[in-house]
Amino acid sequence: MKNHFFSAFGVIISWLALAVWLEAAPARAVDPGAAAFIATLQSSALPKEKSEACRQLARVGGVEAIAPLAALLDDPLLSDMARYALERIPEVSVNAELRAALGRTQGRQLAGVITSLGVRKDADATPLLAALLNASEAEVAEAAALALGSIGGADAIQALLRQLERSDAASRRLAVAEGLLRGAEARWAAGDRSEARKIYQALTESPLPPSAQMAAIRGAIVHGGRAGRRLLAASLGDPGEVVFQAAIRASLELRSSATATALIRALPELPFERQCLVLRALGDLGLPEAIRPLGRLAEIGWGSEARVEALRALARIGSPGALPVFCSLLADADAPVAEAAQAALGAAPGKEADALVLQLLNSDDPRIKLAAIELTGRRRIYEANPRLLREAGAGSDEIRLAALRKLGELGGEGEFKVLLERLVQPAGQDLEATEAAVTAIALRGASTPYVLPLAAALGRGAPEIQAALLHILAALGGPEALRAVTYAARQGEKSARSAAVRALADWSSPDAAPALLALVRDAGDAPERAICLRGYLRIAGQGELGDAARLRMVKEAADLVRDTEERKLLLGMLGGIGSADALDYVMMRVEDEPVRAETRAAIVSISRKLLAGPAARQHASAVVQALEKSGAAASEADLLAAAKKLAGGAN
Amino acid sequence: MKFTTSAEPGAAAPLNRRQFLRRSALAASALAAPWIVPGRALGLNGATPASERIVLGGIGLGPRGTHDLRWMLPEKDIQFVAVCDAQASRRAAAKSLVDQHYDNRDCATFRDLRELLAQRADLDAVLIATGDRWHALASIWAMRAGKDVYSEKPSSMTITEGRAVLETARRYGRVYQTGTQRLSEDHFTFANELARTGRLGKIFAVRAHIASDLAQMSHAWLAPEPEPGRDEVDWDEWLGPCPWRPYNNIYIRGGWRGYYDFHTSCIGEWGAHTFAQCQAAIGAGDTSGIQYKYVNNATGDGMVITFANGIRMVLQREGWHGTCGVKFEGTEGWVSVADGYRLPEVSSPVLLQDYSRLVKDYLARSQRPMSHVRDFFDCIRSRRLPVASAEVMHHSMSTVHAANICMWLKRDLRYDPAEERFPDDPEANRLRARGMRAPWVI
Repeated sequence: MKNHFFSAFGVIISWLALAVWLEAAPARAVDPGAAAFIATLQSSALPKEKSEACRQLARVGGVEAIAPLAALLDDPLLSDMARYALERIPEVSVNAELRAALGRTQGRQLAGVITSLGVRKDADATPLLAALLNASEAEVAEAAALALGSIGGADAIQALLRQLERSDAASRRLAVAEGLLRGAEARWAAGDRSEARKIYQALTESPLPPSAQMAAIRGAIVHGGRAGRRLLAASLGDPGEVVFQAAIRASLELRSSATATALIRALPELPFERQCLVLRALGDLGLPEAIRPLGRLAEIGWGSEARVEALRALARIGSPGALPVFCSLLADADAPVAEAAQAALGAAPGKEADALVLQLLNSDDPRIKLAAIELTGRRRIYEANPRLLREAGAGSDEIRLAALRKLGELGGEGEFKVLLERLVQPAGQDLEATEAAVTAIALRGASTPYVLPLAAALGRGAPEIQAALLHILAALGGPEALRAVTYAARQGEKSARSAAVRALADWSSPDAAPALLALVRDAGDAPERAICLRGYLRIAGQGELGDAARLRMVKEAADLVRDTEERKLLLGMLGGIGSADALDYVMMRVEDEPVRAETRAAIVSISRKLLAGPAARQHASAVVQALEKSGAAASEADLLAAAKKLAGGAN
Repeated sequence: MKFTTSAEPGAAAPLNRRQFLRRSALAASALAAPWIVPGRALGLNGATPASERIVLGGIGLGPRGTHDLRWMLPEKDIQFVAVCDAQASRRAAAKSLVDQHYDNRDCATFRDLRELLAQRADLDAVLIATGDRWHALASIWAMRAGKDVYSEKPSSMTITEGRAVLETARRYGRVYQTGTQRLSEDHFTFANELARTGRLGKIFAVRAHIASDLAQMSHAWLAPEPEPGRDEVDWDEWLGPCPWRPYNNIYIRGGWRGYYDFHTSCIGEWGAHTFAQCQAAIGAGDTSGIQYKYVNNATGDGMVITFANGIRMVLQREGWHGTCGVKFEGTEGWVSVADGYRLPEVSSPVLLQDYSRLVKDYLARSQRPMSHVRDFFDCIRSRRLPVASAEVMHHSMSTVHAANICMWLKRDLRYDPAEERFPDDPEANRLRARGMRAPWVI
């Protein structure tokens, strides 16, 4: 009990000291609080506290923490946490403590200590670790191999090379290979290139698991200098897939003319599938040296597929140097090649490509001209618009229609006016495509510049053109457009008037409602009157107007309703309004025999809305009365019961 | 010198299944756009012949891993054959999902990753979707064993771990993709391309969403509970390289978040989603932030990280309509996008006019698909570097780790991305690495 008390007291004092320090210490002073953590380690504190002390000492521990931490290296529970701290303490004396622990630890603790010596790159540990390469425990031997590789000194590498010939188990061979690969990288980084190459050479000549074999070949190529380039060339043609893959990956790391040359030279001798991968590697390398041979391959390659791959590689390189190749193949007789060339030119960066496309618009070859027209849209070349306007008025059908499509994508106010004028000319051509272009331009941007020219054009052109202009105006919306369409609906020729009525009936915003109601009142033509009423009621159905406004609109229309069908329409709209006033209004028509069914449906619909609303109790009695009086009670027993229940509660 | 494909020198090199897979599929992929399963590799019924499929194993398949599994399984040219998890219930659930998909009972289960790697030489690649603590170690072990790796994010716990992943991928020539899937999504690609092509003018700031959780991590231990049997939950394996602590079931049910040993804080959690995006947009995919400005709050909200090109990245908690948001601000406009946006938000609608062209151009130029897992599988076949390569992962995660260290030490920091060290702060340098528990070491 006494011991527990003192240990707990010691921990409390330690943590108090830490708390005081944390409060008072300047931001970057050496941490005097380490003393508190050390005290925790040396107390009989619980493992949790000791573990936390180790974590903190990893951050702030100094020389004074080393021995207390090292004392825990053979503690089964805290050994890992002791290493956690020791690995992060910069003082070199940590290494001696770790080395000393090699003799008194085993199993996982020993493997951990070995790992820490590797993390700290302790060259003095080399002979001790080399002796552990043949340890019976796999975890220990493999940790030793990895650590020696991390240390990477000449002795460490010699020990690993000797071990390479001895290890039998695949996992041990893999660990030794990993150690040697790390060692080779360390020698290379230290400037000892010949030693690094010797290691890779030794690895490539040893029987290794495939992953290590690939790593060895990759290293030998990347770090092999001239010999590496020879190896690259040989590996590309090697029958082994591991070797070929290593060569491809290595080539991506060696971004040089020599690499590009080696890949290009290897191409003719390779099977097709490897050629494709080599071409992709050339694209990913992005070297200008590859443009010429790739261009030649794209132009006169040994088959459609290879030519397409060459074009894709050129597209990846993304250099202006490849642009002439793309241009020359735009109209190639081989369709996939022409398609790939167009895709490549379409995605090529820079203004040079835009300029080339503009030049191609002058081509006498209609196929090239057509491709160029398509590319103006793909590349968004607005400078092409004057030229596109010219092409849209001359040339073959195909060229004219393509130009009109692109004008729809690229055109602005100027092109709109020209096309609109063409549209309303008597005996104009390509009316459908021109109309599509005019519509696309008008609907793409802000509406302001387009409404007045459209309004001014009303009254000109063929009836179907008039209808199209009216629909564009309806789609654009706004007071100016509404005024123009309303005028046409009242004053236009019959066909234009009919189109204008339809445009008004489809108007998206509520501001068309007064014009529609006026037309309902004044129209002599019964079908037009019906269209206007439906349009008006459609607007009245827009929920965002609010129930009161919608009911007011319906009441206004009710005065103009003439026959049973129109009364049905009205009731249908009323059913969508969930207000007590709407219910009262419908109830006024409950005796109207020809529309009895519609009246009941409206009453049921409104009742459901009222009972689902926040004032359900308040409306329940009215709903009961309405259902009973309209005769809907029998078929809507559940609704009636719900209303009665609410009404009873209200009472 | 003669190279062979066999482990034995001088042995003949018969065409094994994997070689055949490479050859036939590579040949096939030459014809089609790279993201389309090549027609030539497909069998008559539309399925890829078994001999040509990429053989996969899944490691650590909880909720996120299951999501990934469901994402990958429909790809016709792959086949999952094994799953590995320290928890029996998750092993069983993942096996069930795989078996159900293939309508058989063939998926093998493993409790220990080392056994999976030692016994399943047939695996071409692995999906790693463990908790944060295992991502780097599992990736390194798998790549050392010759597997290509798709690793969930955050893909490293420390700067040193990230460096080790990068070096291993390079050393063994493996294809490594970190799960920053927004690098393969069209809205985010459009935003990056707006910035990259200069349409936003000169970029002066980018903003990265930090959605939830705290920057400060807990060192506490939950109350000990009796450990289940190893077959049910292998607690030692679950902990892996992390410092030992007693078992509590909350950890294994996702409650590991918020603990220093297991989690990379809100900055890691969300920075792993957003920093790679931001760094790609400003041409800093191959480097990390150089200055970190401490902010005195719980989340890092408002922290400014400066890159060598002078562009600032601001960590931002609010102002998004979805998660994982990024915003790029230039002298001529801005773009902002997050998960759930119908379209990217832009300073002017004119910027959206080029949406389709910019995405198409990116596809033509990069020859990559708009699918992160498809990019991974394509790269397994072509040996190209994926869009979220180990290098991309390491440099963006180094920015995450440096920002965390800034918050933990509560002071401004300078970082040298070339040396991967803090030039004037020894204490910060100590936090670049953590000791690993043996034998879960690299």
